[in-house]
Amino acid sequence: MTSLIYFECKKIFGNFKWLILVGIIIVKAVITYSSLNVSADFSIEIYKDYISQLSQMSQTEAELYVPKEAQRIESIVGAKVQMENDYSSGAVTLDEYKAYMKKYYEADSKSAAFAVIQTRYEQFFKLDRSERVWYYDLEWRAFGNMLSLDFCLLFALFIFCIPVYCREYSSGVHTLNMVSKNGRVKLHIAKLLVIIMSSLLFALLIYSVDFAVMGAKFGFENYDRPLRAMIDHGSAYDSMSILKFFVLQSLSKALWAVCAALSLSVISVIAKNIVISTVISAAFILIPVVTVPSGSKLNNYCIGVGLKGSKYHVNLLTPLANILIWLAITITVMLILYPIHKKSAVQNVQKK
Amino acid sequence: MELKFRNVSKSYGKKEALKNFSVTMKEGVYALLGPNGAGKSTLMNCLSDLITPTSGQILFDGKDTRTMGKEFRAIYGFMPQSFGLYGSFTALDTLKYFAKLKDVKNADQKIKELLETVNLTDAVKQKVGGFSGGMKRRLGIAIALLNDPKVLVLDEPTAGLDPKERIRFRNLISEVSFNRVVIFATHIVSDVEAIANKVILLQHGVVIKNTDVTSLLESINGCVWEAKVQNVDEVVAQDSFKISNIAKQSDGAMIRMVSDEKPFDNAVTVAPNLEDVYLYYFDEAANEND
Repeated sequence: MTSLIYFECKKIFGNFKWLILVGIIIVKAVITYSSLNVSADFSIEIYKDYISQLSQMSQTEAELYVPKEAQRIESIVGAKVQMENDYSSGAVTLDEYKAYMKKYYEADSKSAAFAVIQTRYEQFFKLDRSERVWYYDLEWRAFGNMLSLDFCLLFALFIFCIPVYCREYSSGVHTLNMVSKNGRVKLHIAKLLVIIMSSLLFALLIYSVDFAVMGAKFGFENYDRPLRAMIDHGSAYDSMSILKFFVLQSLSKALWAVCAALSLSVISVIAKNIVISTVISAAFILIPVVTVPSGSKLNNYCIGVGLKGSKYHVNLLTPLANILIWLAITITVMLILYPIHKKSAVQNVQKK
Repeated sequence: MELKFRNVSKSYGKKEALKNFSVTMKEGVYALLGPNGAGKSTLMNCLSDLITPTSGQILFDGKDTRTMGKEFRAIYGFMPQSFGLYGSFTALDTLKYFAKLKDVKNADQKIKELLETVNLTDAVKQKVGGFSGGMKRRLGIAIALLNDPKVLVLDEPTAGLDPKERIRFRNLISEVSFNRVVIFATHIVSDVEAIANKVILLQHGVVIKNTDVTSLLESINGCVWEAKVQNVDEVVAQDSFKISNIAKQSDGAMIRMVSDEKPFDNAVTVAPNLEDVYLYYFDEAANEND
């Protein structure tokens, strides 16, 4: 079986086809990098410290903290002229002056960064109470918006998974395979294993690129921040770190990628033509994304919706269940269509 | 070893491609001879379990080959008339792949021997996509022989091979037929004459003859004539006998004909060959069916 898997991988990735995958990864990296804009604020350590503190607080605590901190900074910075005068006149000692200047430098270094926080705070309180979803950073919000249907992953799945079966029929090798001892059940098993492993590999690579680019831009240390730092995330995940959420989402989408790959193999077994299979597969995955209403139970079975991911919940059981469903469909299709395929393989050969 | 076809029939809708094909084969070379649409490929595909016969059974040593499934495929080798290969694989990759698919033991040694046998040693590292038709056919033969099959079926095996390779192939088939059943379908009667132990004539899915080459030739003894004629066109236009060869000469033409009765006063009988047999039986069968 291992050897058959090796040869199936060779069919998919051999003859420099793996370069296509490298190209897809590069394109993915470029797209991710260029779609994320790091503000000048975010690169400042002080700003990140404030974000970190605020994200640990509840909304009520944050609402109290911001004006208090603003007042503290203003009172310290605003007192500089008076303190200088007092020191010159001898009203304060050198030690007292030094102690004040220390506080002044600390407050002054924070004032610019805090001004940004305060601006957002004021915008926040213009909203109705029901609309106040507290967020701390626009850039991490962009990260949240990255959790959508990844077309680079879809492209990789189409390019590499559809030919696994289609090429056998179009090239006419199907006949030679079928008259071989292991050319039926064992070969099908090998193909399915390769399809599953490849789809997991593609998902791992694609989401690793996201992880690496995001981390490089925003700082890997920021992955430890609570998920509340990102806009729109449900309160159920308040205690989860951004990293954990990202890993779970990526895992969920990787499992959905396996479902997608299995569905592509079923479609390609039925269609037997690469172009037709691609068109049908694209329609099968993408149409439900726009037509099935959100919140509908149908979403549990829509591969396209699963591949999009969700900011509000991470579900590993649903994609796992769908993998089992698609494995059952794949086996059923093979068993039903196999006798028909024997005949059509012969007819194709006879036509040639 | 015995391969038995018991009333094997195959219909595609109203068209009967194979009708009650009943033949028993033991070790040796069996040639399937017949025009296009005779049912040769249908028979081979039934044996290969690529299509399901409408009725009848195919038994190998008493066991139904369809029931045997994998067990039968382990001792079966087939080279179809048209087949594909993976263009990006080299010849070596292709044979290694099929060796794995066929569960061949000592594959490397076997592959080396087969490459020499089919004269592809120099092209072992070449991609199959760049092979000529003849090279692909030779590779196909090698694939069919990989698992040292007890039943070897070849559909038009020498098509696309040059005369030297065709002779090489014939010798190979003669060597390997010692302890196996070899069935091959061909239009090249010289191949049949050279190596077949038995010839099965097939027309419209029905067996017309199933006998050895000598008996087949004897069956039309006295029916093959040669005569010298002045006006070839007149003779051809008569259409009352089958002409197998016209050799133009300076003072007319020497015509070879197949006919039950003497066609001309100056015609003399000659020893028949398999081309004459083909002409005699297939035209005759066509006339009977009409």
